Amino acid sequence: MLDVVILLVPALPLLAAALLGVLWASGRTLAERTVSRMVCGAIGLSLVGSAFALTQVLTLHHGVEVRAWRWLESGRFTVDVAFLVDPLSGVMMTLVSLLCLVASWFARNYMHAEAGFTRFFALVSLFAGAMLVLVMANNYVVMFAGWELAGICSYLLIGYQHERTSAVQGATRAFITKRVAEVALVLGILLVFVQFGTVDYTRVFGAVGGLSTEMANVMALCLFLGAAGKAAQLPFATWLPRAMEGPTPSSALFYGGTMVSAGVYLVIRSQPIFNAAPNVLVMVAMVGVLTAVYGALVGWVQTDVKSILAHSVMTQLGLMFLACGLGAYTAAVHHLVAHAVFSTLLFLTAPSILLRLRDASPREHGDRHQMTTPQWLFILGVAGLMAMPFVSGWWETDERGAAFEDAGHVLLAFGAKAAFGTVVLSSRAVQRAFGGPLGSSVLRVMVISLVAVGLAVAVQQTVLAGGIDQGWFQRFMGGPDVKHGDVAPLLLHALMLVLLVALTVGWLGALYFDRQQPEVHGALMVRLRTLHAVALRRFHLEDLQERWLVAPLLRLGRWLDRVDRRVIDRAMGTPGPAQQVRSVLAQWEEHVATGGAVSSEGRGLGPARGLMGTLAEVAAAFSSALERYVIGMLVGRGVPQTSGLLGRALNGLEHVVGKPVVLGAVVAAGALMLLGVR
Amino acid sequence: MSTHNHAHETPRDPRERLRHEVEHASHLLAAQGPIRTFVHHNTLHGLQHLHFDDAIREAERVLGGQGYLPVETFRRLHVEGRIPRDQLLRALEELSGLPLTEKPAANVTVRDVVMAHLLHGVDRASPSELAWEIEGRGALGRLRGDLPADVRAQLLRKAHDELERGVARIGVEWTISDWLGSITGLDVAGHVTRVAASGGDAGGAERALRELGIPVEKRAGYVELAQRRCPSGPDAWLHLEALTVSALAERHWSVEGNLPSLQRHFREHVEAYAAETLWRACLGIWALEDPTSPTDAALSPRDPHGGVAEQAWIHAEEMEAAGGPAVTLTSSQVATVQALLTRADEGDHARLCWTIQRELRAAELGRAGLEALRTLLSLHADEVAARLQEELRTQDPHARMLAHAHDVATSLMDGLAHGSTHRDVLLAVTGVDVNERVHPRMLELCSAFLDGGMATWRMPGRTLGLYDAWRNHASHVLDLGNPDDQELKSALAELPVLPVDAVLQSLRALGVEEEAWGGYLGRILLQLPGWGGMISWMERSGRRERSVDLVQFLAVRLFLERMEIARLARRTWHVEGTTEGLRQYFLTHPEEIVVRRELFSGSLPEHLAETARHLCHDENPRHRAGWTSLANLLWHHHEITGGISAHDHAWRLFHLSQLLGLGAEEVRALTRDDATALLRVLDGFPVEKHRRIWQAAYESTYRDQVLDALWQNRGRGRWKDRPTRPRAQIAFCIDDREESFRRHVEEIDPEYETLGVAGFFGVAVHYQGLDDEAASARCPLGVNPQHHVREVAQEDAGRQMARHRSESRWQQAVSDVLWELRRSLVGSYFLVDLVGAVSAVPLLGRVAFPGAFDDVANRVRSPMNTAVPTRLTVDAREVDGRRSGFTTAEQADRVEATLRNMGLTSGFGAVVLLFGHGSISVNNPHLSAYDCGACGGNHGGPNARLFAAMANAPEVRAVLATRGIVIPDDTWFVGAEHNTCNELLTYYDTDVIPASNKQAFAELVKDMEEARRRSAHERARRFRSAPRNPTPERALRHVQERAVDLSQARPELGHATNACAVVGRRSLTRGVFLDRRAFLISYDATQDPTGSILERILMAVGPVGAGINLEYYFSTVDNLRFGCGSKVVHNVNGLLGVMDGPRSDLRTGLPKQMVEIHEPMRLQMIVEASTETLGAIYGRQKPLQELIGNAWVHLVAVDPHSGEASVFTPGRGFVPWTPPGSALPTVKASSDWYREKADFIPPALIQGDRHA
Repeated sequence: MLDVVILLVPALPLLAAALLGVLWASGRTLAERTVSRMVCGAIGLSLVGSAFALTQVLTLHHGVEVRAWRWLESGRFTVDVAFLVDPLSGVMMTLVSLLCLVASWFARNYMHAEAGFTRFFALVSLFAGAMLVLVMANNYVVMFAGWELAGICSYLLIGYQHERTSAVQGATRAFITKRVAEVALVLGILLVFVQFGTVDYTRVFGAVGGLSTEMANVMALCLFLGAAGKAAQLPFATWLPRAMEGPTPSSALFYGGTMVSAGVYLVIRSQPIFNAAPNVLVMVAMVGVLTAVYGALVGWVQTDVKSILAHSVMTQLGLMFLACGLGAYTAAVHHLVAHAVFSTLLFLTAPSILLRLRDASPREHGDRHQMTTPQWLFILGVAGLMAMPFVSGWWETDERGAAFEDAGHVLLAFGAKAAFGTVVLSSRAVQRAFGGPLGSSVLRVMVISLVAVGLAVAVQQTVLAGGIDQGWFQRFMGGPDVKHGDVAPLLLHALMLVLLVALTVGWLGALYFDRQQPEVHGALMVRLRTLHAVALRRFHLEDLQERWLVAPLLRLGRWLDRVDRRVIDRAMGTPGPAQQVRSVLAQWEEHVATGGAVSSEGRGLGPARGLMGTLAEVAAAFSSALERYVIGMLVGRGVPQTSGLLGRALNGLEHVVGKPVVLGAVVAAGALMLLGVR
Repeated sequence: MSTHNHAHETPRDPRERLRHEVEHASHLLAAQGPIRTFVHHNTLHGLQHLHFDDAIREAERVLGGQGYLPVETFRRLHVEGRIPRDQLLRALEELSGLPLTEKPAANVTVRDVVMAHLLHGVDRASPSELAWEIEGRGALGRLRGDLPADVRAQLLRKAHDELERGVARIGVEWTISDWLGSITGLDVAGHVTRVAASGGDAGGAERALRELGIPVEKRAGYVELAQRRCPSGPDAWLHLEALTVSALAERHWSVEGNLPSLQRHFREHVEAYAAETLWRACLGIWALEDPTSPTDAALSPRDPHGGVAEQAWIHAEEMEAAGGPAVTLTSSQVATVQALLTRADEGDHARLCWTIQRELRAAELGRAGLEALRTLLSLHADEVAARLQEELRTQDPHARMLAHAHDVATSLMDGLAHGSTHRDVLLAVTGVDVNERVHPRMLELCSAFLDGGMATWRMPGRTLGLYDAWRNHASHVLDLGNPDDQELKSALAELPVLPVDAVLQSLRALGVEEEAWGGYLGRILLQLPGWGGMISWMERSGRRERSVDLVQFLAVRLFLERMEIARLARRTWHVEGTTEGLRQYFLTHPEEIVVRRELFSGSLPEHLAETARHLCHDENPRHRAGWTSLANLLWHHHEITGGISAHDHAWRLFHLSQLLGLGAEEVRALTRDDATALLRVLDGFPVEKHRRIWQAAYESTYRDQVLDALWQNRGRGRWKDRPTRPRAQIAFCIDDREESFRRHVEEIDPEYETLGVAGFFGVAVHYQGLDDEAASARCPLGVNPQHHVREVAQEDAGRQMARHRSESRWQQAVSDVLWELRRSLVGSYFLVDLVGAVSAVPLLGRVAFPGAFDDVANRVRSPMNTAVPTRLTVDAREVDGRRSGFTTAEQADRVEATLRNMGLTSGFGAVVLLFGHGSISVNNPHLSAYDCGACGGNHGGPNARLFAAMANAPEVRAVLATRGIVIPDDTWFVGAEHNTCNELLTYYDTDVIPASNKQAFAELVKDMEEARRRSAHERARRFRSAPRNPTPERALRHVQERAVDLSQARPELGHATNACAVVGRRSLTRGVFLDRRAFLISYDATQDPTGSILERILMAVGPVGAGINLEYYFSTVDNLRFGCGSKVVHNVNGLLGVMDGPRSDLRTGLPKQMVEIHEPMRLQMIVEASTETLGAIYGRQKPLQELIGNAWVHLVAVDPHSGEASVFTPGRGFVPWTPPGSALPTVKASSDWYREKADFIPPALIQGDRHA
């Protein structure tokens, strides 16, 4: 019974998607109601199944593995399509199916009368299935299948309005960036297999003990790079804000916390490997903090609601990685779940921001209110109070903490440097509401913040216990497979310190900003201006990528292309004309494709010259037919620009990456790495 | 914009001149202000001085986009019966100016051709489209799918007859090859004869006849025919024929090559036979070869595409090998040359001749030969040589190519003086859009600078103004060590202090001539019309808390643009990015420019494009010659694809003859001149001209329906005058959405009189509600109110007020702190942990059970929302140096004006209820577009409340009495607000209603409750997600739920479907079902002998109605260009507007969800007044002349006494309208007419109100 339910959970949405795909490909127009009922029904049943499985697992006190069928078998390499439900995946699958249900229920009305209604629902359903496969898989290969499928859905939904260039560009950027990160992930999975001879979680984690630290580091690094790409961490962060091109419900679903959380999930799931790789853990934490700071800073200067949300998601994911890096996996899980729900709600209500925010003219001529002595004393007292637990706790480093000391300093320095705004903003907000001199606003803010933070810490400690040993959430998650993080006190202290610094720096900043004329020159002012300017340019991340990655790649591609044409073509005797003929055919076929349907039979290709020529042409015809079918089916019929834009965007890339020489180089590099590892 | 007349002298001083040009260029920008004060206006307001149709043409040229619905939509509307044929014909006759009765060919009039084109479309195809149509979609296998049934039957009958005649001729005068030749257009018989003559092997005649399936009785005749063809050997001929026919039949129709099977095939596929013969007949007229036939003229099989491509490639290879294109010579020229060659001498001469000899092929001379010939001719200085020299020049394709290339390069550069920019030129020839690098910077800057409060960390130094803030900002951007960045920084340092000087500096640096400034700047501004428009709006509206204007905007933009242009020009050609630098390069490298332009416009044939792309990235100077050879190939390609062609001429004739019902035989009977004349008619009436005709027919169809309804409603409507006292008067805004509400009120009790008046009730005022932070103007756009009115707590409500204030402050503080906390790095972590899981409740609640969740949330919130009884500060006072309230005289003026506008000067009911309106919904950035336009995109309730307070004041009534309006003491005015989204009705100041009126008011309220249920019920018919056939209660619950549903992108439908405005007494329209499509403005012509009231009304209603109507019109016809696209990807930016996704211009206009059911037609303004009065007003008022005379609005006069209508036609005056004479359906109640119908419904008469 449980086995069947578990199998049905990912199967239902996938089936619904497949059914929609088939019906749609057969050219039938489906009523919106039919489509949405089908998808909501399938995902709803998945939700029920997930909840059932979760309760079962919690009562059984052990994970359940279900094998569907053997997928791959090659020598000693076997992969089963099999699922593992333990508290972690149980929580994740419930979360995923719940949010997918909410988003598709929302889209029923929201997407009404959109040209791509069916396409949207088919993709959401496919995505739900993919995510469920991802979180439920019992091995890396099946997880990777879900991972990829979710990525493709994200690509197609960012490019939902394919007639807009920026949407297609955004989609391509997201797709390519994640693909680059996935190269590392694939390598990581390969390493896992090479090392352990299996990709099943249980067997892999059982054997982690025998792993050398170096090997564990490489392996964890690869896995983490893949995760960082998916979760839009530095240096891959640029794709996430550009991905806000899709319809609001899909943005909520993908980037509000469901798909992007897959990266965090991967790290949490692979925690035994990460625990064996302390250096990578430090790196995870570093990347997390850096991204959090980056996201917060860039988010502060954004003026549109979706970019604000995108950067705040990035920040939260960074904080989850920080938690992972500090070993507090349970805290990360708790944060992941809380954030996904919270963020989805924020995304879905994004259009109503106009009702919530009022026009706030900038108070650039703030009144020069003098702080009174009691106010200073109050502030000092607060600071002292907040520092107490930190001061008492910081020096009691346990054996693990020592490893983190160096990293910790750096992390905290970053956190402190960047987090100077918490109170700036709050005081401005309060002043807006209450008016009056700034000083009293600051006091009020301090009260509100203190209450909020105090409440937060209290709740954290007692109710949620996200970071605390033996809290209820930890017990709840504490199934047989989850190890207790033993560095939680450090996490708490680290966060406390960051909080302290943020509060003081932020408060000082608030005073400085609001009390000084913006035109006043001073070293701090100038530097802050630079920071603002740089944050507005998103730390030049896109420029840097363009300059150090894309441009050289394009140059390399052109150079290789020239070599290809000048040297290889001539040496191989591949006739130029035959290729040209093919491109004419391609042009003709483009017309066919844009006409909206597909010609029924393969036609005689232009005169082929020799075996190579024939092969090349057959391959070309086949791939172009395939492309025509796939693109045609996925992106909608009779949309002339679609294939054009997508095609052109992809073509440019293909132009570079698709060169046999480049591919060869990548494969060779991979092989060398593997050999070297052995 | 070049057509816009400069109003006054252009100033001399360059700065002044520049400001003048900028101001002038700004007219075409979107005139939309911040989205929270959305006010409808004509999208093309900048072109309103032109005639509607001319303005659209101009807009399409300058702004892009489409100004009418697509022709396909009109055709669909025709099929649905919405645009009848006769209306279309009438519009055609009136507007097209074509000689419709002329006959370009036998029995076909221009009207037939044009109507076929209008209704079905006869379009050209490109060669590849032709191939696709025929091979991919089987265009020769069937007739057009959209043929009228009778035409189709006629064509099939003709084809059938011809087929049978053809079959009958076999064995009598035709062989099978003759027959097939007539079908395929190939010379089959000739081919057989030729092959037979060359001596084929002979087989038995009998066997061949058997194979051909010739019936025994016809065989003798058949052999005789063969004998006649090939006297030497009929046996061999027949044998060859059998072989040929078999191959042909197999190849063309996949059937066996004998008579019975062919016959069967054609009889079974008569339609295919008809299409195929017709197509071949069309080709035959111009003796064109069928490019898609599987058999070529030599009767061998062929592959059309591979063949063409292969040929093109061989030609390219040859040309490359020969060093350029060969010259085609005429036979006489060949003779001349050969004569020259015979005179061969020694030495140089001989070598030249030898070269020429070698290069001279049948009719052409190779490149080297041409050079040699030229030299040779220069040695012979005689007349023949000179003439040949001249002929060679004109014939040489290379020279012609060079001339063409030179023209292209020159015209590109000339464009710079006529409105195109350097960016356009560079985009055309490099495919690189500098906007892609300029726009991100501009968007960043504008968003950050103009942000209304979204950013947590705002741009520093905004008080300095856009230009200086940007200079500060840009100088702080990190230097990444790029040479580009460094150059940018040094250029930045050289910028002048004044923005206007910076613009001048950039224009000079780019090399833009002073005469071209206007066009250039206009084009630049239109690159980001949304932000440009917002800045222009801020500049004009005087909201100058931050110094921002278009000159500053342009100063930044042009600076960035010129840096990018310089960079691109330098990278591509190592030249300066100025007009002069580019011109020099373009004119010295025209071949490169012409190839690049074709490459990046996408029209370069693919086999050349690949090479061209490589050349673009090739820095090697040795490969420069590649451009020349490509340009030659390209020229060759153009030369072979021009002229009369199958894909253009034959293809169009093929379709036209189908639509005209001409069979193959009739087409064959056409002369070439006839056919050309037919096509010329099509050329003279291109698709762009169709839309105007369709639009006119679409509008006149609806106009006739409405006028007919009003005509048939004559004398039926109640309250033409007030012989008795109505039970109550209920005044609404003129809004089209109130039409249904009014109808239902009247259906509930005919004793009610309803009135329509602009929803600010004539009291223009700055109003500040109890919880509002600032006052907002509640009046139509363009009126600047002089009075301030506030909502204040009643004197005895101090305690509630204090509580209320403190509650709302705390709520605001908490929500603000939460908002900021979410964005802070550390605070957010705790916040998320704390509230994250809890937010599952609102997430599920609001998405899955919006109605119920809202109820619960309100109940929870209500203890925290202390209600405060309030009053308005109506009476005049001085508060903080500002005038507050109105004096008694001012109040009386306003009350009097509004009452007179409505014609309500006597017969007051016991209660006069005034409804303002507004709309509330969630998750809807365009919320204010649903509010009252007459109140400046705000709620109109306060105005109604204010008006009622004034009209109830005894001293005001006393003044009014002296002016002839006696309001009885037992009449009480009540202000109220109608929420058009959830049908909520709010009544104000009910506590002060006198006891004597309480009863009447209570009954009125009960009836209004019923009216709102019915109103919701009628609205539900157009909502797809509403329950089908709901009860009124269910419908009301549905619209209430809709308003609080997060997922609802269409909380209500706004003004969608607005189409007419009726100015006149309600009796004119009362009892007519107008389907919420009419603005209803009360006006009583009998009380307005001079027309002064009407003049006032028209001046207010005309622009407002036209603004709403035209904004809906343009947002509908091209939602992507003139509207703001779909809501599903919208992203609110800076509290100012929406953009698509994370990076786009501000989108202006209406979203797709607001207009998708709208029927875009210009407003029919139907005025109940005499034509004389209207004519006089029209003559006096310039704004009305612009609107009506330029056909932005249609005007119809309905005589107040006779009820006869006259349609105003610009240039012709009022033309009497004749009723069509068919009776309108009459129904018992509105709901009987709209029940079960979800789409458009024509007007009907409602029985319920039959009172004279």
